[in-house]
Amino acid sequence: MSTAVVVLLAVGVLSWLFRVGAITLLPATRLPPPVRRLLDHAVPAALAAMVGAGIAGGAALPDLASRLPVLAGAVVTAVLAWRVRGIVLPVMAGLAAAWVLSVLVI
Amino acid sequence: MTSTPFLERSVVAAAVRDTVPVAASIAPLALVIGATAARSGVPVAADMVGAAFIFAGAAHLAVLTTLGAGALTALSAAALINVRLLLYSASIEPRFRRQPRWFRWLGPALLIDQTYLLVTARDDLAEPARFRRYWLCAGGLLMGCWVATVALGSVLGPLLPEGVPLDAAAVAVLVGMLAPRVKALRPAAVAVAALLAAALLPGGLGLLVGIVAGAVVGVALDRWAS
Repeated sequence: MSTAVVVLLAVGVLSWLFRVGAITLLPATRLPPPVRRLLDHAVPAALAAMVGAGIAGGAALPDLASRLPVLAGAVVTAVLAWRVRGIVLPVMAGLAAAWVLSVLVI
Repeated sequence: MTSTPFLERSVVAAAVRDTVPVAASIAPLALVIGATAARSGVPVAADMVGAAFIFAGAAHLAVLTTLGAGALTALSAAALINVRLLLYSASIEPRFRRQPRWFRWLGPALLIDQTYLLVTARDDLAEPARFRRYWLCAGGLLMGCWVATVALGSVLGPLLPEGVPLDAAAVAVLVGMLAPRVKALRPAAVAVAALLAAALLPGGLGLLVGIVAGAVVGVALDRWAS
């Protein structure tokens, strides 16, 4: 079994534990307050960190020129996602911007 | 009494009616996940099992995009993303309190952002059996559509031309999920701190430091505001 499959299954088990955690295993009211305060901000922090890592392309101090299409796609998506409801249109527009720019750069 | 079958049909119809547009809204993410998995060499069947087990797009995508930085990094990133499910389960626990034991253990497997928002938006699910039918129907339908769309992405992914920037698609989907959450100043500051730290530090270290930095900035701002 490949590493990817093992990690996917492990994340599945962990996710299920989170899901039943406060329903069946341990009431959330018993979590320490500092942990609950950190958890309040975990979602935007995690999503933003993944965006940052995705724009950088996995390398420190990235070569911005080569990552420009990804950056442009992210900016177009962000601007539209703030203005319209739903994720489909912003993502399609962002992907189109990235695609056009990658063709121009190449 | 004929009212029970009628109620069963009405709650099922309501669940389907509520779920179809939600399933359509998450389809782009599922397609990107399937295509990314195919490009990463993950077999379609394995990715479908992963999609059903994880049943959470951002965490699934995190595994696929951070695996290059190591299994532990991918596992940690996905865990930090999905830890919000603990908060959802705490919030929704009263709806599960009077349910049968099997449902209290297996029903939460369908808990995601969308099912949480669907049931918390309805005020007609106080009766346990009615909640259970709605939950299983909406969550089951959503999971079925999700896994099928991930599989479709896995099949279509290899057919895409080499020039298609799939990494841009993955980032765009994440930005689309992030943007509605950061309209206020505090979550925006959390996001900026996390994004910069993750972008400026290498690979998996940047991702983990970014998440922690964002959460710490959030807590600091909470204290400052109070």
